[in-house]
Amino acid sequence: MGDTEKPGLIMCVCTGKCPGFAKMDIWDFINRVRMELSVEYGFIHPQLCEEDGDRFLSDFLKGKRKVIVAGCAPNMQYKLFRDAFTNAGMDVKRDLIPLDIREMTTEEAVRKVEDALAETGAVAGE
Amino acid sequence: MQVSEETFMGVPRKDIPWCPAIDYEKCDYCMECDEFCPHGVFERREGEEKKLVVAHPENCVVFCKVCAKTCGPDALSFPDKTETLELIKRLREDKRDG
Repeated sequence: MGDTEKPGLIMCVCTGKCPGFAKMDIWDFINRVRMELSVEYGFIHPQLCEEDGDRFLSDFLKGKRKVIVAGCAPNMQYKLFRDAFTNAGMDVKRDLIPLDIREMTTEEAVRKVEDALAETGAVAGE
Repeated sequence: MQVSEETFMGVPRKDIPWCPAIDYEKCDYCMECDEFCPHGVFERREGEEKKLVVAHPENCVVFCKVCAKTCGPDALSFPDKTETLELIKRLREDKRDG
């Protein structure tokens, strides 16, 4: 997996009933990320930490692309998704970019993704 | 912080018995669950025998078990998922037939 490849982005919204995302418009967020930022694609998953989320990740990681998960705390994401990445022959510490976007406005969350992309060397919008 | 909407899978959240149960025999009060959970499900009770309690079960996101997954001593448990799903279906049917 080359470093020049754009990462994918999954927004994990904890069933959509989690008040942690009440301050933002999740659709404005994901549409701005998909359309404006340097990601291969962006979409919303209801609950990656549930069993169907595990099954989804196993399928999804077969593509071997780095992935940004915009959702809950990074230390939690590393714990929750480690096995799925290992089973896919990937390194969770290198191939997962976990972002905590809870308690953020849409603007703050988009900026957090921009900053993370800048750190990975991806240029906005290309 | 109240769960943002009142229903889950078409059923009032208050009718769904989903929240963590603390096994005080195992719990070592590391508080990692309370640190992770942003919904204020847990409350710390300094100076009391039970220093951590499930104060707001209604704030717990149904089928979220992350606190239990992160609990080192395995002191947190949740209701059975299959039974909960069946209850949700029954409640929805009752509401429709009611």
